[in-house]
Amino acid sequence: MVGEVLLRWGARLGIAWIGLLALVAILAPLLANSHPLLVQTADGWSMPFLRYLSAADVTLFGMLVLALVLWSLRGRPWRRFAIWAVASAVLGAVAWQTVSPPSLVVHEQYREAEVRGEYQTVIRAPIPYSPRDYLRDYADTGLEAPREAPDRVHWFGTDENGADVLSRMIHASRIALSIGFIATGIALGIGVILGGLMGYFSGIVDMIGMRLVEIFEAIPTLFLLLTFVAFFGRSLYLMMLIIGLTSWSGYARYVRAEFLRLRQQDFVQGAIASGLSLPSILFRHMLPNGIAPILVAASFGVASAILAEATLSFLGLGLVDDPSWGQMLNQAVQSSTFNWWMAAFPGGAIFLTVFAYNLIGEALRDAVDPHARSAARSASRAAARPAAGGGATSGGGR
Amino acid sequence: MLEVRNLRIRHQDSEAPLVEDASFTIQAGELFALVGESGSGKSITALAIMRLLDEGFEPPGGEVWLAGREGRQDLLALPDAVMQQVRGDRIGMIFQEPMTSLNPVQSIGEQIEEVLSLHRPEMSPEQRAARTLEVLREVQLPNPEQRRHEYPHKLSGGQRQRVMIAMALVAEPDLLIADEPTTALDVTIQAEILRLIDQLREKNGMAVLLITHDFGVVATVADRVAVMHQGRLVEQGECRALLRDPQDAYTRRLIAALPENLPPLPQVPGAGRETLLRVAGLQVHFPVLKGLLRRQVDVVRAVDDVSFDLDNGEVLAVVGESGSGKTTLGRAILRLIEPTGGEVRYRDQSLTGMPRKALRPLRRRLQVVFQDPASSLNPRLNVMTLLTEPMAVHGIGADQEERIAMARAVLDQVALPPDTLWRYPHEFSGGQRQRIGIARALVLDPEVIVCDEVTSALDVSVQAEVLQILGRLRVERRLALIFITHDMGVVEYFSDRMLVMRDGRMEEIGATAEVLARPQAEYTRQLLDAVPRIGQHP
Repeated sequence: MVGEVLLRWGARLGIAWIGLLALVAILAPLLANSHPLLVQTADGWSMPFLRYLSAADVTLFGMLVLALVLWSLRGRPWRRFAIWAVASAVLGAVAWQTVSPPSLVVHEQYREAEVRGEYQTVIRAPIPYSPRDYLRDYADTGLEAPREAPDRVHWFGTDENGADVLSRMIHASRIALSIGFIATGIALGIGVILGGLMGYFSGIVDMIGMRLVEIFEAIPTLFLLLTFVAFFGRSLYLMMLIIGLTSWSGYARYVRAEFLRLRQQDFVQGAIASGLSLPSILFRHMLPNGIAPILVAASFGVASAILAEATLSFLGLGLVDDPSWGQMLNQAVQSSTFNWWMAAFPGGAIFLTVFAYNLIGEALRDAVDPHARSAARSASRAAARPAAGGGATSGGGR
Repeated sequence: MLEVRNLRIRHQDSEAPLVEDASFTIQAGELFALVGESGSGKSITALAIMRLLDEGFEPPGGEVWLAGREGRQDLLALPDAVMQQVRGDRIGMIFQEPMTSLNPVQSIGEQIEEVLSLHRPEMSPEQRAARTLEVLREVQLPNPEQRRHEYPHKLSGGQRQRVMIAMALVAEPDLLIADEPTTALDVTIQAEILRLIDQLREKNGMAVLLITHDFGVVATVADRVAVMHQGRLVEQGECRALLRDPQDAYTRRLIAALPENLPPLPQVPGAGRETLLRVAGLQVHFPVLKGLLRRQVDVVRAVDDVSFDLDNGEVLAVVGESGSGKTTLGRAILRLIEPTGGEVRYRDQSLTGMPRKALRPLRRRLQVVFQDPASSLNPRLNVMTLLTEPMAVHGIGADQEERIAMARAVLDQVALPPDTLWRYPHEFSGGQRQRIGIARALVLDPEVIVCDEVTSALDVSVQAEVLQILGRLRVERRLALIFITHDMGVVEYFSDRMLVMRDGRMEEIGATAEVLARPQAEYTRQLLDAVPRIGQHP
């Protein structure tokens, strides 16, 4: 199936964009940072940006490195993935306990030190501004169009506080990606388990399950989010949880339908007759044969989770201090004059990301669609079997 | 009537031609049978004659001459528009699957009249309606005046096949091509349809090209036969002579593989000493729910009051037509479907009474092999996992290594090479998959195996192999088999006792030889009469 998905150029573009975004999100502190990556002073070399890394930064770096190491090792894919997941969780826990960046950050200190000539060598990030660096060392900070400032380079301009828009966007890509993945992951987990049980047991379990699905489908996610924000304050994790908890019903329906079909298949009956345990039948024998349509739904689900967060932030109910694309759009509308760079770049990023997920979803759907697939498959099968018999074409119903 | 000369068919993507150098002639009024196993190229030969091959095929080589009112024409050289007239008008065609060959949203009368309006445009609507009625009467569809306004889903499989024949015959073609017309039908209906085709052929003097894999059918109706093997016609000739004295090695092998010609099976020593399974008054009723409150208005009695014993080393054949409840019976015994009444006892334990958890350790003694080798193996797991996972669950073998060694030994017993372990189900042919299915049942060292139509989807020669393997295993492992089938030849060859089912009820049970020789129930007699056999000829 993977091969068939990649045959489609739309999917390739989509995957390329998401991959780029993921890389940017993980490496954000290296790409956009007011603190120099490497300086040489009279005391020797040092890497000032390391001191300001947060626990999340450290965990993400570690996960990337682990992934690269395990990728190059041999072993079963599932086993490697499990090792990676466990190691990442441990790393995250350790990082959250030990890493504590200074709460007071003076972004200007290194620039001023450089002006004073304390450094012999300075290597800076490509975008030498942190997302919350309001450029207090420059007198007249505020809105500046891209490349307007005479002595600094802001590729995407600055916002009304004087922070670099590109830097904010790079750091905000983390929120966009993580809310999509985690919210969809929660929804998938609940949907697959409940839908699987409904489809497998059918009868009364199915009845109750479907009523539960209908109840959850009746909850408007956005209004629930508004209510929760009002009660519990603004939290990214709460948002992920709520989006996940309210959007599983679609997956449950898909899984249920697939399992109802698979339940009748002889190989499942054979597994039951062999006395295999229920989890093994559900997750080893049935789920891998019914996962394809769920993946399609999931890729659209990621896109809608990103949009939900953007909508919320746009309404001013998102995170306060961390930048997000929706919140940046909100800023653009709030300011008295319309500044195109503040709307176009974050808006474009949201558009491209949602579009990329939809492209991947479309390609997955085409690859799963039996009508589209049978043509491609029969062509490849005929190519693979030179002396194929006429049996493939002898079916009735022509 | 039809003369095919050096027909050659190739698919664009394949190196070798699918049909090579096929030549045969069919006389007017003759029934010519084309016999072969699946993939031998018999169906695409028919499609090539009709010029209905898919786009992926190269234009067929050779000549296909059709004689008729306008003289002889080479069908392969005709322009498309003329060919369209030939189809339906001069050549009628019926397909294997009557369920999908009719348009579900048009009444059958409309569908037949549409053929007429294409090929007999000069007819008035009244004439068309009259002709439609006439042809429906000809194919002996009961109550044709009302039936013609009905939609296909209301008709049974046999009735649909009659409608298909009516559609093919309505324009009075000179040649009827019937591609496995009775394969999807029950034996009693198959006998009726074959008789009908034969009668219509005599009445209208048309030629019939019958494509089939069943030598019994050939022996019953055909005048002349051609045997096809891997795209070549290996032998053709007069039907009786060819079946009695086949010349070609392949034909001989094919006829020798029929169950009635197979070497007798060895006896199981110590069979019948103890009763393994005791089924008493077994019932499976499905409720029919209706209305808003889902009230139960009726029950479907899929299995009703079935009782029998099964001794060790014994093969009990369960025979019946489709819908007779034989598959449901097999599954209810294993509690894959919950029985609604009656009892199944395995040795001294009641299977029907025990909770599902307690049943699990017993499952290894009662195994099942399914009909469709395509869907009975999980396509995502390799054979090693398929075989060792149940073993691990039941604690067979100390570690994975030992289990793999045991799996290898079982594969050897079903005549599969050891490297089978590392491959996936889709890499195997139907017969090989069926053997993997048997291996999966065997790894648990069962005492009873329910074989649900295990050979129905297989070619004759593959069926022979699978039967031989099962016969040998039965001796080696002293297995008792519940052998569900509709094929009387297999029953006769393979079973010790047989149970005849109809509409969920037992019609008859007894020793196979006894029942076949002196059937007690009227239904059994009908069933046996309908079975086409290679020894008989009209």
